[in-house]
Amino acid sequence: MSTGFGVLEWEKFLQDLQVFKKLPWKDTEWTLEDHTDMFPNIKLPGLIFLKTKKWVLPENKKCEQNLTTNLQESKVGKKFDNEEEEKEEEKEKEKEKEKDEDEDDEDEEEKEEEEEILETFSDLDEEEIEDQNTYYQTPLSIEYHILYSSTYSCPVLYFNAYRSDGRTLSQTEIWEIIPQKYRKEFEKETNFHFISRKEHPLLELPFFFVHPCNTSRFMQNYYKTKNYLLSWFSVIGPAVGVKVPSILFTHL
Amino acid sequence: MERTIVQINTENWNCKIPIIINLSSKYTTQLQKPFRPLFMSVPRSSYLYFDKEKIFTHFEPVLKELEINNKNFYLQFNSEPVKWNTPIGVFFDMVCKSTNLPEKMPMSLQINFEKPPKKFIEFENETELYNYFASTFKESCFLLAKSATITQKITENIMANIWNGLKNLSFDEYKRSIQPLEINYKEQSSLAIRILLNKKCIQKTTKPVNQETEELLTLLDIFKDLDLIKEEKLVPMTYLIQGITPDPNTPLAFLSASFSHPDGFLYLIITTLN
Repeated sequence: MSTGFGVLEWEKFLQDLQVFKKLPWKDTEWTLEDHTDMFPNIKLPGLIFLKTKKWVLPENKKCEQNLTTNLQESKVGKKFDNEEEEKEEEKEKEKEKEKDEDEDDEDEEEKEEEEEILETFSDLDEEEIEDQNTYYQTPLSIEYHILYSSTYSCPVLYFNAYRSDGRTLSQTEIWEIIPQKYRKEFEKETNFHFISRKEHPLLELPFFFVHPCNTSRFMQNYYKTKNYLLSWFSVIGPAVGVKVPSILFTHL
Repeated sequence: MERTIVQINTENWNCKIPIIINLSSKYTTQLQKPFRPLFMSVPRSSYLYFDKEKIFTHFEPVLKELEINNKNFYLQFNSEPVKWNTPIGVFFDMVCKSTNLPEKMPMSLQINFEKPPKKFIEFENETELYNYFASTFKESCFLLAKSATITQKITENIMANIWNGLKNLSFDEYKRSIQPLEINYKEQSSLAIRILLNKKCIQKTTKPVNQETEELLTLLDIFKDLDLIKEEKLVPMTYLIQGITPDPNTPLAFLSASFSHPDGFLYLIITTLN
């Protein structure tokens, strides 16, 4: 529709998608999802997208610190911002206690690990520990989807993060996956300029997405690129925790 | 013509839907006597989220008896959850008037305190819903102006005023808030239309005018694109815009200017009868 610079037409998006998928991504595997059967007999762009799944450890998280004998009760010194978080944590605690009762065989191994950790942290002052804002160092599972926005004529990144118990992250928690160095920049702008919550246009599940209204503006700087999608992703990807292998830049 | 558009918009904003909220049937067997339902009159253009506290306060007294500790709930029509981010009128047109069941007034909803289904977005607070509304509004503005400059004009102040206009259900306040954006409906480059075809959302970018013939595009053109016209007749279906069925030859530009929701989109709800 738009003939301005910085936009990507649907047909070109599809071509770039195929190339993008086959590039030498080191530890990221992209799969193509085709949903054209959702609306048979109707010509609609945007029914095909790429997706990938990664396990990441949130940045700047301290290791679990135990001053109790239960390895899984590890929120020493955690500061809760609001009551709701606290209640949620309590529920998680209860769930894990139930799991504990079922897994008797693993207790011995756990006790050994506990002792090791206790030795490591026994030198720390109690006050010191309580002052630190500690979190679980549990890995998050993150799904990234590259879709096409026919409104803005550009790609748009949808993503969702899940904790190890399957729970999705909330709007406040999702900032955990944004690398620290980008957080300060984005804190300057209000939330809705960058990340928002929305139904995934094809899966209809709640997802987060990076707002595409500024994409065509910054993509005007990359008009010489051979692969619009890769250039775009090299900007957006790292901001939401996906590292782009440097070898890929030879393909631009 | 402009006065007509303002009149229609004002009427849409003032239009309300009567609803009755009962406890979900899974709870009624646990009660000694039936709990009184909540009757409400809710605006078509607004979101049920604004009444969330009122609804919770009404049902709070019975939660102890049901041994329910959480404050979170969702509403459902039969088994269909009412999404907080769908305008009430759109949801009503989707489920009530578009089914083969006889039209029931008031719209009967059930309140459920269990975990909602996966496709349901749980908004933790009003700010989240505001962010959702803001990104939708930005999208519709971009479509109507087809330039990024308009999205830059939408400052935080303007967005907050628009949101307040919606909460206060004042079309005048809303109109004044969007004036600085200078959206000119006569020179639209694209229309902001969301089509709910059998409950699935299609966002189609359509120009208001056929580029070859320079004629105004109508609903018929949308139906053609959606493969809903066979042998020069419309397939058996019902379609609604703000609760009414306009003539298929109505120009889309007029519909967009007169019947759009506060988020800037014109919602066309189509249910095929098969």
